[in-house]
Formats: sequence, C-alpha cells, structure tokens
Amino acid sequence: MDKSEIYVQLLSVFRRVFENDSINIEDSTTADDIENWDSMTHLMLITEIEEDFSIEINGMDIMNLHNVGNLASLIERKKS
Amino acid sequence: MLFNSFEFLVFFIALVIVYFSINSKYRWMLLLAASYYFYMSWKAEYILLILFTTAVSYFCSIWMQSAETLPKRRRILIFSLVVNLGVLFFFKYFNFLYDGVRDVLSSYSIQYEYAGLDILLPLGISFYTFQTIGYNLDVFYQVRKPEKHFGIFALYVSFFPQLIAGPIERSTELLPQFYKEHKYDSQRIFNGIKYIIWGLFKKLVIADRLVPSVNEAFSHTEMYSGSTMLFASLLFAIQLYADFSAYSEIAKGLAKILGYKLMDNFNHPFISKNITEFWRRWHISLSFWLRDYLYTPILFSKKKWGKWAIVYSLLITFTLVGIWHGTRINFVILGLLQAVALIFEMFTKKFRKKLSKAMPKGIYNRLSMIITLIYILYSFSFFKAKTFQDSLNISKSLFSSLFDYLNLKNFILNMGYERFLFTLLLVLVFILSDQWIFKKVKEEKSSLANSLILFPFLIACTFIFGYFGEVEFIYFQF
Repeated sequence: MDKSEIYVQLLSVFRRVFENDSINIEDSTTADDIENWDSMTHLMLITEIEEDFSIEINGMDIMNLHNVGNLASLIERKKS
Repeated sequence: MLFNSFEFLVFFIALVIVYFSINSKYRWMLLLAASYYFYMSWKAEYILLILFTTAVSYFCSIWMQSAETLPKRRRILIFSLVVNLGVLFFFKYFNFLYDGVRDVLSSYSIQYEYAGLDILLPLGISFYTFQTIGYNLDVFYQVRKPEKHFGIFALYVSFFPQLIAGPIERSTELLPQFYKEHKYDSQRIFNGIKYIIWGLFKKLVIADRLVPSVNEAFSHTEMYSGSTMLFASLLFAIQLYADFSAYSEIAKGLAKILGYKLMDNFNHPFISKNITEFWRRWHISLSFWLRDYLYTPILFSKKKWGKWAIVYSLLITFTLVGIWHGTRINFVILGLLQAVALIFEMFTKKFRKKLSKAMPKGIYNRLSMIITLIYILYSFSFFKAKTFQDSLNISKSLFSSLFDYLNLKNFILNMGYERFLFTLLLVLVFILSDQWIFKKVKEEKSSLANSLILFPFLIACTFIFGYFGEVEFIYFQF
C-alpha cells in the first residue's frame, strides 16, 4: 500500500469521524488545524483506523504521533 | 531564597554578570552550581534527593536504550518510576501515614510519639520528579534519545528558575537549549525584565494584598454567609492565579535573561467558556504533562471500552491530581469536580454546539463564561478550605444565604473599610488590564511609551502598594 492510497483511505476515515466532508489533510496537519479534534475524537480516529486498515496501534505508536504525516507513515510501516 | 527577596536579587545579578563574562562552554557548570546553591540555601541536605533522582533517571534511561527487548525496557522504566514516585510518595505522605498509625495505636491506648519523624516536604519535589518521569517516558516511548552528558542532565532537572514550582518543561524543549550558545542581547534581557516586573507586581501588589481577607473568610466559614464566601472564593481564585502565574512569569523572565525559553504556564484562565478550555489555560505545563504521560496512556490502554475509556481515564487522572495536592478529602473532591465537569462536557459537545447556534453568540459566550467561573470558584473553595467541615459550611451557606449582603458588608467593614476597598480597586484594575499588559510584556520589541511609562509605572506601583513581607508562593507546598 503506497502513501497516496493510504491518504485516500485516511481522508475518508477523517471525514467520517469528524462528520465533516470538507476536511482536507496533509503531512503537516495537526489537532490544532481540525475543529473538534480532542481526546474523544482522537480515540475514535485511532480505533476506526485500526479497523479500516486492519492494523493495531499501540501506546508506543500513539506517543510518537505529532501530525498526520506521522500517522500515514505509521500505517505504511504497519502495512508493509 | 525567594524570588521576591533582596538576597535573590543580589544572587541573580551576580550570576548574570559572571554568566556573560565566561566562555559559553563553561556556562552549564555555572548554572548547575548556581541552581544547587539556590536550592541548598533553603535546606542543604535535600540536594541529595535531587542528586539521587537525577542519577536514577539518567542511568535508567541509558540502560533502557541499550536494552534489546521491549519487556526489558518496560522493566527498567517501571524501576525508575517506582524509585522516583517512591521518593515523592514518602516525603509527601509520610507524615499523613505516621499520624494515621499513631491515631490507630492511641485508640488502643498505645501512646507512640517520635518527634524526629516530622518530615519536611522538600521544596519543588513534585515539579522536578514530574520532569524526570516525563524524561524517562520520552526515552521509553522513543520520543527522544537518552541524554549522555550527566552535568547537562543534572542542570535540566535542577534549573533554578523553574525548579521549585515549574513550568514543568519537556526534555525535548529544554535540554537542547543547554547546548546552544546564548549571546548577550540587551533587547532579550529587557524582555526578560518585563516578565519579572509584571510577575513581581502580581505577587506583591495583588496576591499578597489579598491574603488577609481570604484567610479571614476561610478561617471562619461558620460565621460567613453564602454571599461572603462566594466573594471570598473569587478573591482566593484571583490570589491563586496572581500568585502562581507571577511565579511562572518570573521564572520565564529569569530564564529569558540567560537566553532560555520556558513555556507559558497561564493564559487568562478566567475567560474560559468551559472547564476543558480552563485546563488548557490554567497551569498549562501540568495539564500537558498529565495529558501526555497519564491520561493518554490510560485512555489508549482501555481503548476497547470506547467512550467509557474517557470516563475511566479522566476519573483516574483527576483523582490523582487531587491526591497530589494533598491528603485531605477536599483535594480529592477538587479533582473529582474537575473530572465530572470534563466528562459532562465531553458527552454534551454536540448538544452545546446546537445550543450555541440557537442563541445569540455574545449571550451564549458570556453565559458560558459565568457558569464556568462559578464552577471554578466553587471547586477552588475545596482547595482553600482547611477541613471537610469548612467545605460543608461553604456549600451549605451558598444555598442558604447567597443573598445575605449584610453579612458581606460586615465582612468588608471588619477588614478595614477604606484599606479593603483600595485593595479591591487594585484587583479591579488588575482584572481589567491583565490581558492588555501581558500582551505588552510578551512583545519582542516594546514601544518607547511602554518602556518609559508602563513598566516604570508598574515598578512604582509595586514599591508603593506592594507587600514586602516575603510571603512564600502558594504552589511551593506541592
């Protein structure tokens, strides 16, 4: 799975979790850029990503997520 | 040696002169020596505790890095956490447990008294312990590599501007700064002095002037009506904010003069429209620390529980915050009140959003601010009340005599009418100008008017109206 495929799938997860079809994401996007990105939506986001991509994200992974770019790289690593 | 003492002024000026006179590669030694001297001027032997915590965290992180497997890394982490938290727990709760054991024994007619066991809480122990724990967790989570230089790491743990009461700095933010060369820069030094001027004004003119009236009300909760206690809670909230934010800003100013950047610890918390926002504006370094090192790990360890994981993590985090403040049941209630509000806000987010759209924005925002402020004042009354009975008295009076203005008038008369009204006037000016002045403090380049009028005016006010009794900062006790 390459990065562009990951981004397409990731965008649909973001739009579903934040209930907002106008959301756009890029590598540098952080929680400050998206309205309502708090711990509850973060938790929903991670569990949805786990289901959608069939991967498991652990505590160590969570602590190293600082932006969407980190998240996409994490998914890429877990899928390879 | 308090920041608001003459002794500290002499110490700091001498330090700055030597600091900028010597080669930058030796500055970490000077700062480490100054930090240890600063701490030892209070109680010399307790420096051993800082050294012990420093050594344990330093060696554990290096050991962790060399460990090959995750379980081994985890065991080393747990060892470091147990040792660091063990020291904190021992000093914070020993007297409480000792008194408990003595009371149980005396109920069986066994008298046990040993005066030598009355342990004094080491200053700043929570703050430097939180910092070392955060560092160890950063190494465990591979957010950073372990620091190799023991001296620089020791300086990170003990850096005197923020040693006693924070801000609790992330290792990724502060440690790299000790490797940079900080040249003498008069503009930066002036900017640092602005923080110190504003901090000293808040501490000496606002916080310390409010001490007598706040203490009087909270010492006689049975005498005062709901109106008086609500008013006293408001004064206490302002006192606590002025006191604690003053410490943080003086710390920031001192560090800035030397060339270091510390994080903002307060951002006008009383304009918050909900409790979630309040915790993003109040004691920010602790909020972030709790979020990253306690709340998030607990939350994601229970992620299968869905929304209940949020309830669980918030309850545990804020109960621990309460217990950290002290062993009184009041502190646990203080923590739980925060958790309940945050859970409520988390679950009513959509409803509140709809409500805000259905009402004029200005009215919704102002109402939200007032409700949040009243909730904060009420929860702070648990912080200030000495006993649980006092808290009950306050809660009862808030429902039974909230509009008893005669009692409030008598309270004001007892405090010395003219003197008290003048203090209130200072507080009012402070509330109205806080945001504006802080904006001026933060400006990298001040206008001539601000440099020549505003800051000299604040210094003059501090000398004229300040209380120079060297009152300790409130958060030193934690």
